[in-house]
Amino acid sequence: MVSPGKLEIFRHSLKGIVEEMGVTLQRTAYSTNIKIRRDHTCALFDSELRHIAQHDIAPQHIGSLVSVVPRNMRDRDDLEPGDGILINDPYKGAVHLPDVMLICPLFHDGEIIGYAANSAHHVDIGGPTPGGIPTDSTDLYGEGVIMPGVRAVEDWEYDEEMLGLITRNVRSPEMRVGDYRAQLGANRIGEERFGELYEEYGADALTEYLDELIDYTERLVRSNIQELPDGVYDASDYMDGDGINDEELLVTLTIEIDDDEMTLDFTGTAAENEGPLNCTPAMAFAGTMAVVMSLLGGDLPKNEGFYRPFEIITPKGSMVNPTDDRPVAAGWEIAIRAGDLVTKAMADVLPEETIAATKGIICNIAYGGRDPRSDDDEYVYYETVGGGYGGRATKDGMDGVQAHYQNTANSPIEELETEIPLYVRRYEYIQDSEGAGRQRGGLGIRRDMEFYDHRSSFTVLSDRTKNQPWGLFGGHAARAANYVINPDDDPEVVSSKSTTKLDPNDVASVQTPGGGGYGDPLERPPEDVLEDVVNEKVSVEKAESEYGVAVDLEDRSVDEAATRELREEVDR
Amino acid sequence: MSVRIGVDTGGTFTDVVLYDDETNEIHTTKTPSTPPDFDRGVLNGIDKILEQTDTDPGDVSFLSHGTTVGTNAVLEGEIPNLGLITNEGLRDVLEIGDQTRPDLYDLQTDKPPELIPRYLRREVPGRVDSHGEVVDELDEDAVRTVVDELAEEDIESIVVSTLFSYLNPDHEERIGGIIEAHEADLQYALSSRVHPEIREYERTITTVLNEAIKTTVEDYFGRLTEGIEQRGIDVPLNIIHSGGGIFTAEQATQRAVRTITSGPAAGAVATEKVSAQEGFENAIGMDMGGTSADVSLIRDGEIVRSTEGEINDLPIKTPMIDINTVGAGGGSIAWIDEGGILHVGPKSAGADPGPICYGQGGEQPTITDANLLLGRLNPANFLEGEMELIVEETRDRFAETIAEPLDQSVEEAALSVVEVANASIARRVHNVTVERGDDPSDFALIGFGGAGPLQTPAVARRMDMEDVIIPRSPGVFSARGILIADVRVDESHSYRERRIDPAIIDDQVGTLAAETHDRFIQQGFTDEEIRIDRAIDMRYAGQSYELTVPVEDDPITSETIAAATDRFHEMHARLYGHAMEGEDVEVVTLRVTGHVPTAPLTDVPETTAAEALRDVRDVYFADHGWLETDVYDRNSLATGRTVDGPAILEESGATAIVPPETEATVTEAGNVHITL
Repeated sequence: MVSPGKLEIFRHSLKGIVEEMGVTLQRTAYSTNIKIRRDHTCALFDSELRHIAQHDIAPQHIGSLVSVVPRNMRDRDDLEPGDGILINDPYKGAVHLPDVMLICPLFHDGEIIGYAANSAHHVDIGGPTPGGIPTDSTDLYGEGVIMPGVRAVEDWEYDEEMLGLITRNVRSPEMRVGDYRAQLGANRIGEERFGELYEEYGADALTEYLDELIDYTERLVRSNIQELPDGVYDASDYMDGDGINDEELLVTLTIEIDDDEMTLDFTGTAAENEGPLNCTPAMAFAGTMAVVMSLLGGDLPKNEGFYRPFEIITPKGSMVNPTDDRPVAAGWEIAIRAGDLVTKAMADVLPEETIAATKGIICNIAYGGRDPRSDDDEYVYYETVGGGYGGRATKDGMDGVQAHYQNTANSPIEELETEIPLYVRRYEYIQDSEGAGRQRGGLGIRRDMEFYDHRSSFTVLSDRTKNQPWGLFGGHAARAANYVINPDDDPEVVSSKSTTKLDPNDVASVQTPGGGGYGDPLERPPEDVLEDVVNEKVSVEKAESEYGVAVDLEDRSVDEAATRELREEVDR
Repeated sequence: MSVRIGVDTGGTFTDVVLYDDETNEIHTTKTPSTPPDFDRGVLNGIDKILEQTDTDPGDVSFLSHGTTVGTNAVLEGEIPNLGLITNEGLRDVLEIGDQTRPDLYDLQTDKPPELIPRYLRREVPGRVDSHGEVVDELDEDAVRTVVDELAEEDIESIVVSTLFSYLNPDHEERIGGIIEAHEADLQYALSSRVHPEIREYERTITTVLNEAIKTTVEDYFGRLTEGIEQRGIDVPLNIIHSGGGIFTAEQATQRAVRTITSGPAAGAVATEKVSAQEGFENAIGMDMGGTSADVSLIRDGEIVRSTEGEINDLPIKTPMIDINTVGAGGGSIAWIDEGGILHVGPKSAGADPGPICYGQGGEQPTITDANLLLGRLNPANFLEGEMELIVEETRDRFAETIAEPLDQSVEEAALSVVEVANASIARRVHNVTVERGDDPSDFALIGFGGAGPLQTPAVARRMDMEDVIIPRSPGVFSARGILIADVRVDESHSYRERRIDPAIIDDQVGTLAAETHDRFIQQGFTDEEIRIDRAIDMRYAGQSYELTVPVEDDPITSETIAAATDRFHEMHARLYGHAMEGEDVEVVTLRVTGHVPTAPLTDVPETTAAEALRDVRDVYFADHGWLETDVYDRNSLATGRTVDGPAILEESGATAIVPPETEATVTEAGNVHITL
């Protein structure tokens, strides 16, 4: 039996290793997407391929590492010290192609003692459009370079020919090479530090500590599940369309709680699509587990023990388990919605802990063209835009944030305008985009970009223009998304999965959804409604029609008599 | 007679150091801090030391102070109402921030406070581009309208922040002019004056925080200055800033955001002096007080600095000593989670009620309680008996809350608590050394603060460090740093050209340097005293991490830039493991630092005549259990004296531990050097 104090110290050491790997990757990478937006993560696995530690920054990558590493390393008996395996193949447990993983076995005296692994979102992975997110490919081959799990590193050095083959197929190869090297550097640090830990503890004690730590997490997760009432809970929602066919598509999630175990079942979800709206099981796993973890033990060490009480069912041939090399570029859109479905399904079981629907989209935006300021040099840029967070039992949803497993930062306007020929004309909250509620949802964001003096290509790979983020317990739904070209003069609404050729000085407007409300808006304290109206987050009209509050804006006051009357009237 | 006084206010205690210029003697004392009116504690401390040393207030020739009043105001959200004027379409930049959530796995997490509500954030047409050229002219009528509107609101000041104002401040200046001309007599602050650097959110929030803290510290310094004058002390009040230098209370008000790590910076300054004294080029300062531990770094004889920090999840851009804080202090509370794992902190029992053993009603076990139960703290000597310890009650509470749930003896449980805290401090030391390409075994660990000397050897051992230094009067070491800090100002602005042009850099750096020099002259310093250092921030073109590279040549020529570029590649290789010598390097920010040295302290260690060996008692050590341990009066140990571990060194305000199988020597300078 390991003493609890010693176990805590061991946990610190293990966590220190993955954090150092993460910092190394972030600092040595070349691309903004990794350095600033931190779209990457690192993890360690033991010799039994159990997930033992992760750097808590981007859970989507953890979900993929947890499925890819055991599946692809288990049967490999050809590994040597200093090897590194590159993999991004969605049909071998990975996610979409831009998320590339590097896995290195860790040796001690000729024996494998563990694995260091990391995953990073590369800004380009080849394929027809800059930015790695084509909206209309009908197979995986149209989405970029596929790496099925290849030994690209030997003796801690990349095989230059292999790396050359990969980078010859992508845009801005110098940047990409830098990112691949950063991924190797991170695992190298993992090897060094894990080796030190192994020597410090010795093989037997290390196993004992790991068993203890994994059991600790498992014990707590099981006891948290056990506290929930047994039963079957479900939730579903529709996606916009797959980029090729403009038809709404059902995502459905059934959660079964049985004593200390939980099953998350996607049976009933629409069939796989022709276009890129397909989500691999690893994506579905990452999307749901990130929210499950928040509900059942956000503070716990994340390791194998967390996953043991769960079974995730993704029917083969559905859009959460596609076959036959279908395209998957938009798969994360389904996965983040699955996160919302977890909060919806669990609403009656965990009403205090859960939240109403969030923006529910990744909101991938990519644009490219030739810069009129510098000899028409080609440029490409990728970013994602935040939106509303769901209302909560005692708190409003946050305005303008990322949701669930997504927590990547924005690009500062001054950095963006220096690098890319555009003006950000608006970066602001959208009034009335929140779902009204006793606790209202968060506001969506409007980001308008004017591409001056040149023609450009503007890609949206997103969703949520047709169905609104829902409210809970009487809370109202929020405004849906809207993607518009030239919103102020000659508005042209474009689809949520589209590439548009822009004329010089066109403005592209990305308007993200708000978050759903929680509880009856008629119960919202009138002074809170007043504050939102004064702050122009909610209009006087909406305050009246949905919250039943009469606000005198001139006077910044609530007309109490009129409010009483309104609330009685609206209630009827 | 002439004395110098330094006062360092912490969350729990206010430390005071008095240095007598004629006798070269140092006197120290400690009084409880008095939140929220910290000035009372400071004045109490000054009264106490003047009385103890029988000094006439008129003999005080220098007074300097480290304070966290501004920091506390932000942490507690007590900031005044402000307005904001910014570009059309961009008033929410301040509230959106970087669009991330502070906590990934917490559905109930919240964004940092918005500081200025949306209805007080106003927009005006007018736009400057990334070359500093005007795209849309400023609409002055619109400005007049929003200023009229804001003048009707209950606000203390207006912050003006527009895009690319660090390249071309004209629009901001004109908005400032309109506010100034307004009959309402409003205060205002321009982002291009407070923090003229790229990234609109960071520049705006830094300006807002500066303006917000300004009001708080202005009142505080006002009360303090009044109290000082009433006592007949006739010298100006100096304040230590986050960069580890002193400036006047007036400067501290105008640049209030620079006081954010005032106290911890003083500890780093003192660490630098002691490491130099003891011949260590590389050292880590570990300042452990009641609520947290601050880790600072000295590399190649220089304090490691940063240009940014964070408070309440909000970024602040200001030159500062790189201080890394861990939530582990003497008062940190030990607790067991529902899965049976032991944690320490980040909650602290603070000064009130404090640890159980203070007997002031504290009921939760802390690190200090653990040290008492391990025999490391002497209940009779603790704080010179000013607080009565309740050993038995502590033992009972500890047994009930920690030892029994863990199924351990009280001693084992206490040791676990201490070790968990040490592990979290060690991890932070690891962050600032190993992760930046340094080997901790090349560094000495300098332990101070009330709780530091007890933990330092164990932390050092975890990091394979061999040398531990416990300075003289470790309990009030930061206050000593306040006495010896140089006058220092840091100035910077963005480099405003795309290409590197040595002549332009020379001209712009020259202007900054001349302005800084002039300001010193106006303050009454002489040419001979003033030293100006210059530096440029460089990065690989298109990247976002800059490194500050010193430049020594005057004038700056193309050779200077070539040498700086080489130096940049070297620094990048050390920090990040690789350099890209073929890549373009750009200059992002120009910096100058002005210094005026403060006279050194030339006190000689004095030993009391008393017998140093005070007592023998049982102390509990890892791997040994209870050992009969010599207890020494630290101040009676003569220089050159060596003590074998296990031993305890006691003095007012701090207790140091010499572990078994190590030895401690009192150095020429009077510090204790423990060799592990």
